[in-house]
Amino acid sequence: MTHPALLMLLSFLRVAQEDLGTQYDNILFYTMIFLWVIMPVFIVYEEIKERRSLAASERALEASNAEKAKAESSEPAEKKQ
Amino acid sequence: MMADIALGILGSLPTAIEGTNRLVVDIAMFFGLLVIVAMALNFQYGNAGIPNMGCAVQVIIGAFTVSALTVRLCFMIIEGAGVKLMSWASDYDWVYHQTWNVATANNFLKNQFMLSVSLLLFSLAVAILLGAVIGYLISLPAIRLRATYLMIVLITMADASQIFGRNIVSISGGTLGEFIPDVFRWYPGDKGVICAVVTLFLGLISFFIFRTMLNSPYGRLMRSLRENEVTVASVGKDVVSIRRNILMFASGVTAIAGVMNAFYTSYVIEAAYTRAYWTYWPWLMLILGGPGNNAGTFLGCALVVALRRVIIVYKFTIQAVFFFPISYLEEMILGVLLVAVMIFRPNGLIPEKLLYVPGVNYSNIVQEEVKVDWRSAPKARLKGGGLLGRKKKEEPKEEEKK
Repeated sequence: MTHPALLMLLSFLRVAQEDLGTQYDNILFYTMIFLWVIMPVFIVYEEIKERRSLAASERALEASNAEKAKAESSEPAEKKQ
Repeated sequence: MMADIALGILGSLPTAIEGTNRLVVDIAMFFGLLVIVAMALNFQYGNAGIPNMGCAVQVIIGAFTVSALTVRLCFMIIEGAGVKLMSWASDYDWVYHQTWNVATANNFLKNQFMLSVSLLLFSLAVAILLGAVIGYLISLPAIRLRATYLMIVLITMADASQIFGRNIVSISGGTLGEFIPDVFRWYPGDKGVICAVVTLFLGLISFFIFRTMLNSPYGRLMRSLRENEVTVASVGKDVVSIRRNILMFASGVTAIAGVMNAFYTSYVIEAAYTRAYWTYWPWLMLILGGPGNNAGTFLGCALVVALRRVIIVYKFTIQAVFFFPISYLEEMILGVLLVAVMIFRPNGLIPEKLLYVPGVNYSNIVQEEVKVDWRSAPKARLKGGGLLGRKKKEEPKEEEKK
């Protein structure tokens, strides 16, 4: 018994050889669109990721500064005690 | 079954290269070409602060590589294979037998997939190499000159390269230009689509190379060079060699655009590689989008290319709206956009953000505490620290030995 997936692949290859062979312009056209779109999409994705990371690091810095300020304000009180 | 469905979907889609889709292919092709130039410019000016006004030189080098070297190599291979070509030894024969020879070469290349791809790869490799050599030559005055003078020198170099092409017939056929054998002749469909796919693919590769370089320590060194080269030199970096490397690398990549443009149009003439087209338009893209980041470069490039191609394709329709010849509209838009961007958005549509390097935890760097207590330094000096203090300390030791 042949596996159905293999049968499907074989049928796809057969049809591809017969019919898809005439669709090269269409295939390349949509490959071109994909290549054209993938670059800006990747750049936008990376920009958003970088801006988020920068914002997160800024938030972390602000939080650590606030903690330091708290610690400094509590230090003199401890010394007095 | 699924294959039939996939084919059905594909078949129901509009036929690729007709009507508006032809415009889409055209825009994609020129986007691919100009994005390579604009990204290389962003690499040089946006990140390293080198104002390269000679992009046209690097592009023209790519085109001349094809017209002067690839065509000759192609003819030699074809003659070696036994196909008879008309004489192409003298300048006269080179120009006036060009049409017949290229037509014969195209017929030969129709069934030669490997040879065609090899010629394309050869052109790209040699253009990158020659582009790097030109980058090195450009860097020689760049070492000695400040930004303004460097820009003037590079503009004149762009003009000089055109003059060479115009007067030396063996390079690109002089004022008549030169036809280029079609290395995509083996492809049974529309040549424009496959050319656009290859160009966009090359643009994608160069984008990832630039991105990797900018995220590396070398990219940070480039940015520091842009901010203050005196500081970079003071910490022991060789500013001259950094500039030279940047110019060589970016020039090599820019030359790719010249090669692909030559193969797309199947024709090389020096008049097609003007300063305005290959230098000022990429600069507008860079300034419009925002120098120093790739997102800005892409946005600027997409906007400008789409605008230009639409004007060119629909010029007769647009002509009815304007009272002056439509051929001037492009140059007017170039000037107006440059002035408007400089006035209203000097940092571009997407301004440069703080440098972020993937994998680096910035909060740790910022929060790192300095272990050295600078407040103890004056006390040390009082106790006899420093050079004099050490000498004073050494002297008693010698006396003790005696």
